[in-house]
Amino acid sequence: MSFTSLQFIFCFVPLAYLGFVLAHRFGGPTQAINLLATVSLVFYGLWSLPLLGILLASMIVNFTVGNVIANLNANPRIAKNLLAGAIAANVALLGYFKYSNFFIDVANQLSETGLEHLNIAVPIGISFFTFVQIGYLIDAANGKLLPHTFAKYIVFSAFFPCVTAGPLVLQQEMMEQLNAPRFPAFDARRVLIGVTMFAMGLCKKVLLADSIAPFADSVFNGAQHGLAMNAGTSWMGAVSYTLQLYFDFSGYSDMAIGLGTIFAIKLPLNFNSPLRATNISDFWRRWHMTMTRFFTAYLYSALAMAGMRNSMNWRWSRFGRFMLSAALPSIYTFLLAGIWHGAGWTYVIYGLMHGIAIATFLGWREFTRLKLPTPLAWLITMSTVVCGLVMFRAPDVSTALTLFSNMAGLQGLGIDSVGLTFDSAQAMSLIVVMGAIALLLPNTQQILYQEWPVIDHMPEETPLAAGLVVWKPRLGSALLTACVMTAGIASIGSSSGFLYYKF
Amino acid sequence: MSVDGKLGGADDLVRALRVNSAAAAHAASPEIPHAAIAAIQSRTARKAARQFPFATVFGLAFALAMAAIVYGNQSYGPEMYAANGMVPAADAHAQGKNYAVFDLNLNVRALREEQLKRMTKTPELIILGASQWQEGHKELLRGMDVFNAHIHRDYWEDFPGMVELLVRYNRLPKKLIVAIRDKQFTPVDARKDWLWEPGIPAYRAMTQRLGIETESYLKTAPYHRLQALISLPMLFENFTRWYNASEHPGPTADREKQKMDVIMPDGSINWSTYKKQNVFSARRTASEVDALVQTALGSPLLVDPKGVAAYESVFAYLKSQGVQVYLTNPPYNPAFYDRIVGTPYAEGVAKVEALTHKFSAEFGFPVFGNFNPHKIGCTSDMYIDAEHSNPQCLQKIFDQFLALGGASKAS
Repeated sequence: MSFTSLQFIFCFVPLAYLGFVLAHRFGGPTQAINLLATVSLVFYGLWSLPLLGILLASMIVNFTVGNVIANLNANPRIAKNLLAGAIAANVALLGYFKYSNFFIDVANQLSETGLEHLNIAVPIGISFFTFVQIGYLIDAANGKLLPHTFAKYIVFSAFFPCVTAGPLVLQQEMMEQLNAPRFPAFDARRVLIGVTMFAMGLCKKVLLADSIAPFADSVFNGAQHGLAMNAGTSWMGAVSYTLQLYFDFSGYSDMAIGLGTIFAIKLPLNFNSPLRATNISDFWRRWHMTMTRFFTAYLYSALAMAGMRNSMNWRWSRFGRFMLSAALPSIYTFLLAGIWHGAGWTYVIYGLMHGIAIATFLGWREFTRLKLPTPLAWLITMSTVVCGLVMFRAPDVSTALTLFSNMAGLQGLGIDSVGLTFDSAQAMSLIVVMGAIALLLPNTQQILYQEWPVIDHMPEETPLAAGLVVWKPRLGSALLTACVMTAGIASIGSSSGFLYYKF
Repeated sequence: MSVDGKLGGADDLVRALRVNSAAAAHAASPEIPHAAIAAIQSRTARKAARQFPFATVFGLAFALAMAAIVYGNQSYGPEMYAANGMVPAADAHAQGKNYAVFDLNLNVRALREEQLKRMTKTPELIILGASQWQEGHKELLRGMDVFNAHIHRDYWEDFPGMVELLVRYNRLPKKLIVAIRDKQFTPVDARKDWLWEPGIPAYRAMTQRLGIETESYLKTAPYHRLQALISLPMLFENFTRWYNASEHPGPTADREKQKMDVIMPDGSINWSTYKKQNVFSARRTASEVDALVQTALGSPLLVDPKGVAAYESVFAYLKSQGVQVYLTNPPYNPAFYDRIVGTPYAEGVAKVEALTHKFSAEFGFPVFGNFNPHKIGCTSDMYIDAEHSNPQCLQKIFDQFLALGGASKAS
């Protein structure tokens, strides 16, 4: 059941909220949390009942192992081994569902074994709930877990707004809220803030992302079938996909945060106007922020520290120290982040592209004093992002290379629509409008800064950036929210699922 | 932590990206002190008393806006969206007049019910099938008293539903053609269209009448119809079509109109002159065939056992009522058929054909027509797309029916 279906909006959420309020009224916070856990399992079960079994099994095992690890203070070696085994089991589960057929393809290419693909139904959100639980295990080993019951664990690892595509949450930030002495249920103001956030996310998805999607699809499908496209059209296709993915995923994230707010749980921010970034490191601090946070906290930091320590011990040169403590950890981290997205060489190359870009940026900062003018820095950053997303979206490497060669002008310059199923002029108008929204208007959390519906601390620039469109509980805002909600729901049409559902 | 002051870049990244708390995503940005946030929140909290008027205004405005969209769609596209949208058409047909519409995006199931409600005598032959039969005029059946009750996107539950309407209005004919198309038995949750949704109440009534298993309410609730009813793009489309039109839907004496399609009292349709001359070109047909081949190759046919069981129950009922049923499968465009031979899709087609013959053997109902156009003698130029043939091809199929003894003795 997608967030953009009427069943979800008009049946599932109101019924779940009614149950939540009643459970809180008659059973207190504990029953309200139990209800949230049940609702989350029902939500997942509506996608697929057999796959709910996988999720449940994964949660039971990780919850048990996590608690054992957390209580093994006296035996750190056993805890460490248990942690390694549990992480390996999670990675194996993820690998089986997501990467088996990829490895079969690789084996077939290398040795012509002729193995057939396995008929595997991939549990939706497996990358997300597996990583959330790996984070839980590591936190358990580091003694960072806050007290929790199994019901709270279910809400932490499979809360229905985030189980399918994030945001990736941390155990502490969820338990701080779930363990709070006063866990509120009915709060009209909070619900309205959540509804507003949800409505804005819905509009991002159905009015913006879905509008540009046909053009992006048309260009990528054209490239896949060898359609010769000139540079302008190819760049427009690549930029269209960047905008589609941004509005699709950030729209989804806003909807998830809005739903969390309705159910009294603040979720972490996932996007912060990433298309305004002026360097690639800045971009990753603004794009899919909870994934960056996960990889940084649990992988990059450890690699960078180890690299720093070793390079100091080995008395390497400045360049050597830079490579070991910054460049290689960045490349390795982003390589894994790329692979995390899916099975395929395109994701491997996508990760490498970003890893190398980050390493290059760090090297530039480390070894030169040259500061690029902001517009030029932005242009370079966005070109890198757009090219990376070409590899990310392309069904195979050869399609991506075809599109890159088209973007380089090998099929001529200019813009045309020959062979495409979408008009270039219309696409250009959409790109301009969506680009202006992404670059010039305040983002969702800036508009809602007075209520600050996310768990992250509010940055200083937010109140200033919100300007005149800041949301306040006034009649004008009520009317505007109603209009936004109406426009979103009335434009759902045949909206497809979110792009990140497949990850 | 700076291990080496000279490694500012790497250290910066570590510092900027290291996240051990919820605040880390903004670790690089200066933050407003908590006291300031608390002050802001306290100010806004004082306005909490306004939350209920706010909620009321929001709720009212949202409900009003939604109602306005629904009203707009019902006003500018009544044939599809209004509860009584097909009443004027059925009234016209009852008076022997034709009815002109913008296009065939209409609630054809409602039209059939309204037509049956107004019938004064039971036709000799009724045709139940999908849009493949839309140009099946009564003249093709040598003047038999025919009611072509075809409906668009006909699925398995439409058959019990349509029979329910025939029973409800006491119009069970002596002869009934039941056409079974390739996608007839597609399970409800595997469908990508929704025109079947308005037919569900009649289907439920028939399952209750026969005491057979009914598809769940959850699966068959009219979500998509509701979605279309509250659709803003649909409203825009309906309004611009209505606004730009020189003529609007209504009764007509013409069998064919320049810009509008015409629904005949016998249930068949005539395309507009414009569509015949400008839209249904050989090039368009080829591209439609290409598109359908691609779709077919990617989505093998599915057969819902619940649908097969429902057919058997309704056939048994019809037999008990003395109705002579004739079974048929509509022929594809040869350009499409030849390209799916040997594919998994063709296996599905063969399965549906085998089911048709199984029904025939089980109940003793004759079969005519065939999915294979070569067996009928229909050629590619007789089609407007991959599956919809023109009257020339339909004549060949009906000739097979007439040869089976389907024609009345009087004719």
